[in-house]
Order: sequence, then C-alpha cells, then structure tokens
Amino acid sequence: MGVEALLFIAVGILALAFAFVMLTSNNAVHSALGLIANFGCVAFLFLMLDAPFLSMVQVAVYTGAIMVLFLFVIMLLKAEQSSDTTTRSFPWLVGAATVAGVILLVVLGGPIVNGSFKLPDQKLASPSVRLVNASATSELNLTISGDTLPQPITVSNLAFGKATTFETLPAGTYKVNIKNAETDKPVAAPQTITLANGDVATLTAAGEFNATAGTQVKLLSIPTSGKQAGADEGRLVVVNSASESPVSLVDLGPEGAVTTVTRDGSTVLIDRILAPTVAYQGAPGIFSYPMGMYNLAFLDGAFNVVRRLDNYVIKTDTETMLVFARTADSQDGVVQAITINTEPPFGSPKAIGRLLFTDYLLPVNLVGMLLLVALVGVIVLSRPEAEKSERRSNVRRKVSRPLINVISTQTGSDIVAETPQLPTGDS
Amino acid sequence: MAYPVPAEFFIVLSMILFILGAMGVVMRKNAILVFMSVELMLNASNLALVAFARQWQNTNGHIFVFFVMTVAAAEVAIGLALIVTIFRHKKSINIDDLHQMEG
Repeated sequence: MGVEALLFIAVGILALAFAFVMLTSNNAVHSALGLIANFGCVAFLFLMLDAPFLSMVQVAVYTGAIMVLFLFVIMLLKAEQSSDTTTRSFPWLVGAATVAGVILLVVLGGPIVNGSFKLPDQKLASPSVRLVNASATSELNLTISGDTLPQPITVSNLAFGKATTFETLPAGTYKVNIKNAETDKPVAAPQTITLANGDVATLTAAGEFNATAGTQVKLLSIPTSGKQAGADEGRLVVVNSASESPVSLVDLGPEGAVTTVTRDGSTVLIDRILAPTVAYQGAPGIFSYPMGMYNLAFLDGAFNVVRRLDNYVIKTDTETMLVFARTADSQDGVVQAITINTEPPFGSPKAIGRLLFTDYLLPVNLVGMLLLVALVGVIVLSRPEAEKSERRSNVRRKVSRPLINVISTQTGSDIVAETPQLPTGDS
Repeated sequence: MAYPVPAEFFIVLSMILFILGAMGVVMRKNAILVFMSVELMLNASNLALVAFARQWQNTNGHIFVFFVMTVAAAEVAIGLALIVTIFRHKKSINIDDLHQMEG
C-alpha cells in the first residue's frame, strides 16, 4: 500500500464523512460547513489527479464564492432555525431513499470494485514523423515508401537545417531513400524503419556524404515526446553530423572566457556537461534544461572547444535540435538549431489556457455572457416589489365587473335590468 | 499507464458522492439544502471527469470541469435569488409548502 493509496483512502473517507454530515445535520449552517469541508477534500483529490489548476479553482470558486453565497442566504433567511425533521409528508422517504441508494451503489459499484470492469487504456495515436536534413553536404530528396502507403511520400529539396512538418502515417515498416537533390544520386543506402502506434519520431539524415572517402548519410530516428518533463524547461537534442570524434555539449557558465577545457579543469564545467560524447551519426544526446540564457560550447573528444554558442536562449515549452556539422565554408563547424513547440505539462494552467483560447474560444465567450446574464438576472430578481404587486392586484380586482355596470356607473344612469331593445320600424 | 491509485477507485468515490447528493435532494425539506445537495452531485461528476482526463491524458476533461464550475456558479446565483424572492412572498422555504403550481 503506497502513500498515494493511503492518502486516497483517508481523504476519500473524510469527503464521504463530511457529505454525510451535510445530509443529516439539522442546522443548515452545519450542513454548509460540512459541504465546504467536502469541497476541500475534493480539491485535494484533484491535486492527486494531476489537476493543480482545477484544484485551486475549486477552492476559490466553489468553496470561496458559491458556498459563501449559500451561507449569506442561509443567514439572511434565518434558515438555520427552521427544523428540517418536524413535519414529514412522506415518513417512508428516508428509508426508501437509503435502500434505493444502497442498491444503486451495489449494482454500479460492485463490478468496479471486484475488478470485472476496467477502464480501457489510453488509445495510442497513429505514428507521426517529420524529416530533418542534418547533413551539410547538400539538399536532399527523401522518399518514404511502404506497404501501407498507396503512394510513396516524397520530400524534395530539403535544405540543411530544415525540417518538414509532422505527418501522420499508419503503423508499419517503411523504407527511406535519401538522394542528393542536385545530382539525384543516392547518398545513403535505403534504410528501414518501423513505426508503431504512439510513436512521434524525427527522422534525421545525419552525416556527410563523401564519394571518395566512402562516408554515407545515415538516418537517425529520434523520438520526440512532445511533452515537457518539467515546468519552465526546454528540451535540447544534440546531433553530431560532423565527421570526426564525438562531441559533447557543455554549459560554460556565466563568464565563459575559457577556450580550452581539460578533464580536471574547472569543476563548474564538469558538473554541467549537458550531453556527453554524442558519437558521429550515433544516438543523439537528449536533455532538459531550465529556461534562460547560457553560454554553451561544443567540445571534441579531447575536450577542446570547437564551437561556442554565446548567449544562447533556451525557451520554455520548446524542443530544439542542435545539429553540429561542417560545411565547405566553415571548417570550424556550424550549428543549426531546429525548434518546435512542445506541450506544457499535463493539467498545468498553461495547458488549459492554451486549449481554452484556441479550441474553446467560442464556449468561453458564451459562458462569459451567461455569467453576465446571471448577474443581471439576480439584480432583477432581488428588487423589492412587494407593495407594487399588492396595489396592482387590488386595482385589477375592481375591473372584474360586467361591462354593463361599468358603463352605467360611468354614464350615471341606473343599472339596466333587462337588455335594451333596438327600436323597431313602428315606434 | 498504471497509476498507484487506478481511475476506477476515483470513479467509485464519485459514484458514492453522487448517490449521497441524490439522496439529499430527495430527503431534505429545506430548499437551500436541496440546492446544496445538487452542488454535491455536480462536484461528484467533476471528480469523475478529472479522473477520466488523467487516465487518458486528455486535457479536454479539465476544460469540461472548468465550464461545469462556471455554469454552476451562475446557476447558484440565480437559484438563491429565486429562493430569496419566494421567501419574501411565502415566508417559508419548506418545499412542502411551495406547491402553488400543482394542478
């Protein structure tokens, strides 16, 4: 029994106890306080369910506004004095309601408790991939072909450091052909990748193609989770596409004046090795770092600084792929950064706000208008109008007389007993 | 994903709270207490929604709860104004006395 299970049982029993207090208390104020405590327990349960924003809204809106309004009205109407148990029109109601409740609970809750009803697991989405050109030699034509695709997907003239958008493909095995865009000659052997449901992958063409040296481009499949590990962090993926020894990425610290680093150099640097030894065309180094401005540097195998990134800004809720490659122009190596936006942590205010203002913009505005209408309605309903209605009903009662009497009182003549005769032809 | 407390437990708790609220609506005579039991039922459904949202990692559940809370706030405001107005006329909020509309 973990801590979470014990906490759930304790808080759950507390919530049920307070709800029971609310139901069976004679004093209405005690019931309201029991309900406030119940809402507090439910807010704690929301926290256990990864919903911090909703738990705070529950405390602020439900407990702090709605229940306070209830207490105001209870005090206003002196409802705490009115006893709830004196006269009962239906004496059997309590027993019948209890029996019905227990039956319903057993019928609905029994299968859940003894395990024969399980909620289905999360359905994994179809795999989505994007293609990135991390090879500095040339622009690339990439072709994805497979049994599940009616037509091969072709991406032409993908420049160095550019990425396509995410495409959703059915799960299966695919073959990727990479060719030089200008000469249309293959720069890599056809590579096979397998995609399963729930994968979000970035296919990176990394390496250098050199016909004389015999080096080829390799396709790396880098998982992109799309979700942030923690709040206010950015994720970095380091890909080594330069044909030499493995590189490391380090954080040089605020001063960053060093150009040579040895292994037993400054302890600050050793602590802050962010991505150790990313091999050429090897597995990328993936790490999360708090947002801010840093002086980063790429080190080679001998821990010499080969490339510095001064004042590099890591933004929150982003995933940046840093590709270290060599072009014909710069032998020092060039770093390309490809950035995508990731989702904020589940249940955080940022995630909910993002959804509210994109997908649910119209319902939010409608609910706002509903609140305004409710405000006006409450003001209209609570206007004092007792005397006005009394007078109006008295006046109305006076008018409910036969029309003949009204006319006779108006004209001053006597009440006509019989219906008047119209004058005939002969008078 | 397997959590230490599976979502089924939260659903059972939400069910019990909902049934307690429903029993409160049926049993109580004070109109304000009936209203509070309705709020308890709404809260139970909110708990179920958040449990499902975590099970399937879907933030739409949180959005629904947000809207339910907002609409419940508007409903409570108007309902309590109605109860206050009725009290002014009938001097009683015992729901057994408020049978003016029955045929």
